[in-house]
Parts: sequence; C-alpha cells; structure tokens
Amino acid sequence: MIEQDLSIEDELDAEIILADQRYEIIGDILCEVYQEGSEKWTLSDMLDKVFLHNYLGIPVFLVIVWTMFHFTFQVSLVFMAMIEAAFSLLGGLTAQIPVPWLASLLTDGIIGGVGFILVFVPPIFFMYFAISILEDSGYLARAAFVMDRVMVKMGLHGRSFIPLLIGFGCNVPAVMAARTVDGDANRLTTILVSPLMSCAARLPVYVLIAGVFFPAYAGTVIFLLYLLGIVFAVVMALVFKKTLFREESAPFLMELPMYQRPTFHGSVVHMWERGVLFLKKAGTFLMLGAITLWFMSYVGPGGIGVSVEDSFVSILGKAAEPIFAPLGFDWQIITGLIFGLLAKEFVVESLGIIYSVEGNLAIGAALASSLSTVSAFALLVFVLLYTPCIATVGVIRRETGSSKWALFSVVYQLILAYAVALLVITVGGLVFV
Amino acid sequence: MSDEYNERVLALYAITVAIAYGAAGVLQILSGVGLVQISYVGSDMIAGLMVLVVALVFSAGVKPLLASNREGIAFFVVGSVLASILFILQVLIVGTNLIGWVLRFEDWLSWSVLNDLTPSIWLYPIASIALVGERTGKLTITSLGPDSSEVTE
Amino acid sequence: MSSSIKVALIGNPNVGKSVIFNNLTGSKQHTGNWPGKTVEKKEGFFDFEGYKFEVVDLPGVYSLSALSEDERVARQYLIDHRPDVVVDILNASQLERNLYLTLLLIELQVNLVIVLNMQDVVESKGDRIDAEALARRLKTPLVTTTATKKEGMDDLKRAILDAIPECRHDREHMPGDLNGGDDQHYHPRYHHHGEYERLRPATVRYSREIEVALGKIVRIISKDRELSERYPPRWIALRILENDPEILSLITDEEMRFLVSEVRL
Repeated sequence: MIEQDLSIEDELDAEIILADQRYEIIGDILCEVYQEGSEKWTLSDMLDKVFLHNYLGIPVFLVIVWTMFHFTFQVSLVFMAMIEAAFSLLGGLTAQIPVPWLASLLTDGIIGGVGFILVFVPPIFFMYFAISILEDSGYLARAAFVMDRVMVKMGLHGRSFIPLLIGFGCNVPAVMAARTVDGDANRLTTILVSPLMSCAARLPVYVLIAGVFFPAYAGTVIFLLYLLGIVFAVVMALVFKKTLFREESAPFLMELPMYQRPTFHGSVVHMWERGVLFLKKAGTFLMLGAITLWFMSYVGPGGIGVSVEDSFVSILGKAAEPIFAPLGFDWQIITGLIFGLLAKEFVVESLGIIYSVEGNLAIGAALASSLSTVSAFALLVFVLLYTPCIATVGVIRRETGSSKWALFSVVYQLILAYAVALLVITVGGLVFV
Repeated sequence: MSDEYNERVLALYAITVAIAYGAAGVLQILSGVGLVQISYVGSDMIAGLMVLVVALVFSAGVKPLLASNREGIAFFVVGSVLASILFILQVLIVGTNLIGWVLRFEDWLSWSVLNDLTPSIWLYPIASIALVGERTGKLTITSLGPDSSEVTE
Repeated sequence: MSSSIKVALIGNPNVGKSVIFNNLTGSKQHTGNWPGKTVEKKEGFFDFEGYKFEVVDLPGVYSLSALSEDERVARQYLIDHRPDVVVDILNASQLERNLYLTLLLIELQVNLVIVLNMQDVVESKGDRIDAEALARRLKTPLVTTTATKKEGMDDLKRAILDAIPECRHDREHMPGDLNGGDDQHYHPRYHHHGEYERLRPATVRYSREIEVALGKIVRIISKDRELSERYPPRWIALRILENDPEILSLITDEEMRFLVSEVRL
C-alpha cells in the first residue's frame, strides 16, 4: 500500500538515532535537576532481591501460589458447611410442598442446582480475595516477571504471562488483556492459550471432586491443577509458535510497581466487586440453566415425572456415553460436561440437580460410587482443559475477528482435554492396578 | 554501616533457622509419603516442600553474610516474610477449623487443634525475628518500605 | 453554561495514574497493575472553581510509536481529540525512563501539565529533584504529588485550570456543536502557522543534521494544508523520519510522499 523507500535498516537507524538523542537530552536534564541520594535498601529492594532471584524466584512463586490455593480451600471449608446446612434445611421445607412438580422444581432444581452452586461461593470469594491481595501488593507483577524469564528462554513472548495470570480470575478479561501483547502472532497465541488457565468458575468442580476423592490433599490437588493449567498454556503456546506462526518477539520492557501494603478494606471491596458478578450470574444465568436442567431431567419422551433414567438429560448424556467410556465417566457426569460448555458452573449444578432428582442427596457418596479415583483425576484434568465457557468463545471470536479461530480454540481444547484425560487413565491404570 | 560481628551473628542465625525449617520440611514430606509417623508436623507433602523453600531462602543468605556482604540480609528478611505468610495461613486454618468444631459440624467432630500445629506455626518464632529486626530498624539495611507482614497472602 | 474542559491523563505503566484518576474524579475503582485494565477507556468528571472537567484515563505507555494496542489507543486519542490539557504523570523515582514519554508529548505539542508522582518514594530514597528547574527546562507547568496519600491533588487541579487555553475559559457551548470541540485541533490560536517556535520548541532540539532534515520535511509538507493544519508539522516530520506507516499513509500526494522519503539523515 505504502511505498517504503527507506530500507528497514535505515528506518531502524533513524528511530535509534532519535531515541538516542532523546535520552541524551534526558541525561542533560537529569544532570541539572536530579541528585541521587545515598544508597539505601528499602524493604521493596530486599523483596525484589529474593522474589526476582534467578533460582529462588520460581520456588518462591510456588510457595505463594500454593498458599493462595490452600487458603482458598481450607479456610472456606467451614463456611461451605454452613451454607450447605442452610440449604439442606431449606430443601427439607420445600420438599413438603404438596404439589409434586413444584416440590421437585424447588427442591431438586433450584436448591439442588443453584443452591448447590452457591455452596461454592466461599472458595470463589476467598480466591478473589487472595488474588486481589497479590495484585495490590505488587507481587503479581513480579510473578509475571519471573515467569517471563522462563518463557523467554523457551522462545515465548514474555508479556503473554500477564494475560495468563488474569485468567486465574476469569478467562474473558484474560483474552481481552492479550491486546497488550504486541505482534499479531504473539497476540493470537496468547488468546488461544489463555482459556487453559484455570478460572474461578472451575473451582467448584475441583473443590467438589478433590474434596470427595482426595480429602486430605484437596488444597494441594487444586494447586497442582492450576500449575497444570500454566504448564499446558506454555506447552501449547510453544506448539502454536512452532507450527502455526513464526514471529520474532521484540524485547520486552517491564516496569515493576512498588510493593504496597494491601489494605484489608481494599481487598474486601475488590473481592466483593468480582464476587457479586458471580452472585448475579447465579441469580440469572445459572438459575435459568437450573430450571432448564431440572425440566429436562423431570420430563422425558414418556411424559412428565418420569424416572431420571428415562428423562431428556439421561438421553443426552447416554448419547455421548460411548465417547467417554474410555475415561470412565457415567452419563450424569457427561451431561454435566456438556452443559459445562455454556459455563463451568453448570458441571456442578447439573450434577446437583440430577442426583437430587434421583433422590440421591449425598452427592459425595454418589460420586464416589460412580467414579474410580483415577477417573476422578481424569475428570479434573478434563474440566481444566476443555472449552471454558461460551462467553470465552465469544470474546475470542470478537478479539480475533474470526469465527475460524474461535472454532479452532473450541476444537483444539476438546481434543487436548480428551487426550490428556485419556493419558491420565492409561498412566493411572498402570500405576494403580 | 554494619560491622563484621553483626553479620557473622546473622549468618549463624540464618544457618540455624535454615536447618530447623529444612529438618521440619523433610519430616513433613516423609510423614506425607507415609514413611514416618510423628505428630505435630502435618502430613501434606507439598506443604513440606513449601517449608523447605523457606529453609532454602534463609540458607541463600548465609554465604554473602559470611563474606560480610550486606545483601545477605535481604534473604534473611525475606525468608522471614515467607515464613510469616505460611504462619498466617496456618493460623487462619486453625481459626476456621475451630469455628467448625465449635458449631459441631460433622466433619469437625474429631478435629483437634494438635493436628493443625504444623512446623509453619511452631517454628515461626525463630523465623520471625528477622522481620522484627527489620521492622524496628535493628537490621543494618535501613528500610523505609511498606510493611511486609501483610505483603502477600 | 460552559462546555466541560477535556483533560487526558497519560503516563508510563505503574506511575499511579489510576490512583490520581480516582483522586480527581472520586470514583471508586480498583488500582492494580493489569495492563488490560486501562486499555478500556475510563472517563470521569470533576468540578473545580466553577468549571467542569472531563477526565480521560489513557492507557499506560512508554512511547507513542503505535506498536502496541495501548500506544495506538493513547496516540489516536491525543491526535484526534486534542484534549484541552494533557496531564503527563511521571514516577518521580524513575525519571529517566519516564521523561522519554514527556519528550514525545512535547513534540506532539499538546497542552502539557507534568505531575511528579510518588514523591514519597523519592524522599525515602534520599534522592532530590529540583522540580522548579525541571519545569523551567521543559517549559511546562509542573506539580509534585504523592497520589497514594492524596497529596498535591488541589495543586494539580489548579495547574490544570491555569493551563487551559484562554479561549476555553469563556467559550460558550454552542448549540449544535456536535463533536464537542474536537474541531479545535491543536489549538491554532496558540500555534500560528509557520511560527518559528512551533518548528523548534527549545526543549527538544536534536543534532543539526536531524534539525536540517526536519526543516526540509516541514517545508515539503507545508504544501499539504490539511495535513499541516491538523497536525503539528514538526511532529509529522519526526514521524516521517521514523518512517511511521500510519503517518506516511496520511500523505495523499504521491509526489510529496516521494519527496519526503528522499530526505535522509
């Protein structure tokens, strides 16, 4: 379009000469106005010395992230028990309603579904709280810096890690934050891998499954899943980089903010801002989904009030059963995974509804009898890796400006999730015969 | 600003803390794997690894401190910061478990505070000294930064 | 009723820009380090001495080279909307890096107010900055603040008010003024065409060689009246010298494009 008479070298030359001269001017100005004080170490300096240390940086990062998930899980346990107790009390009341379909809708659909997902409000809120502390203190930028070094060594674009970290909260802003990554190929890579970062919506699944199958190490299992998300994001980024796109990364300049003491008030406000969005979602989208799910499990081709085995959800789940047979998932879980394509909260919500309609109130026991431990871990990995939600797909389409990339992201994640889950089953089968 | 004696003492102290945390971390890992059966160390293998990292940070400060390099103090102080983070975490866990126990929830009936007394708690007094020293300006790299104990969760 | 005065906040990432934005507008927002956060346009209002100020928080950038999305957003806004006052926020403890953007803004000939933020950090390090000398050297009004402690916010408001071009002080909001005063591109009242000072602001002077090249390009593009009236010619010349494709594409005349591309260092 534009004739470029200057060769690239000339162009760089002019830019560099101008930049050099600007820095020269700045140097002159600083000479006149700036006087350096005596060298003093602030605590910020000390922290950076260790947090950004060549070898200690990563272990310290792991300690802090582990603390975050351990906190999220362990501290919320008791609050989850409280909410659970409250809802089972409520469910006992609504079950008394003399109209059977209404009793079932309220008890199994609303309380079994939406109520069950609300049990996971404490971990979600605590995680937002922990993230905002990390963010406000200035540590998150350091984490990005530390990971950046690793990523650059592997030939990846460093700035990508910040959007990835945002993905811990929610994948949608993570995909949007990829705008800060320069270079189209780098940006596209970042967009495609950010959904692999484990978002808060997946937390209920982890808390539920890990709580049932790995009660003593639930916090650790969740921590490992988040790490696995990072690992897969990095691996897939490398794969995309080597196959789909080839682009050199520009050196990346990152300025680290000062450490600040996070205020309790500020973190609570932040937690609330983000948490309220989840509550709103629970009150609208998830409520609507719960009613639909309940209807589909209460009604079947045979009419209203059929047994769950003959309902529409069962037909849906059983249709996909052959595909998931190698992974050892039964139709209840498969239905959850299918609805999970809309939003990850639906995985837990639909399990709650289906088991509740079945009359199975102890979901933990029901899960324990339907899944082997290895299958349970495969399920966790599958939930971690497969398409996060319809909103993320939408935002990928918008940000890449192409339905093709959105479709690609869905397909590759489904394949990846299935393949890795299968790998877990195979390896697990060999180890725990 | 700091004299040599000071740094040698600090180095010695850092070694002590590093060994204490290191030993506790190893015990915690062994107990997590199921090789040993001891009380008061917890049984989470990964938690043991985290305690080891604290030991690692403290030990990283020993060499520069012995060489009278002030930068070693940074490891000493930040090791203490990390120990504080693990300490706060464990205290919060004890606190919420206590609530469950008081409310007599099913899963907490057999809970006892002794199970939750992990090395992150009972070793903390010796690790916290560095941070206290730094906060009160007793350590020789003067600090004017923000308070550290709540820097990270 | 006077129209509101447009103020844009700009600065490197992590200079406390969001905090200043919140302090000025009073809106409750989270401050953090997400680069994704300020990419979205944040707007707010405040009233001071009877004037209404409309504040736009531009993304944190290190330069205006239009390389990243952030830089493009910031530059586009400054060029297309020509805010009445541009507040450049500097992390006073990172002056060297931060001043780079300031020089670029001076080149863009926006109506600049400089804020030296994080004064507390500078003091805690024991560094000293002669703010008055800096203001003199850059020929711009300058305010020192510690945004996290809300220090210097009134000084900043006053400096913004004082920096408003006089024509805006009593300018009535015309009915049918559809684009909200965006037509006042680069305040012709202050930058009369061909004015010597506009070609060579004393603050950012390059080597003779570059200045000669700039002069040549300015002469060539001055024939394109629309271009040289919409944008500061010296700035256009600098961008052409850096071979900025976006700016080159603004030159519609083939011959002129050839002529400017002939100018080399």
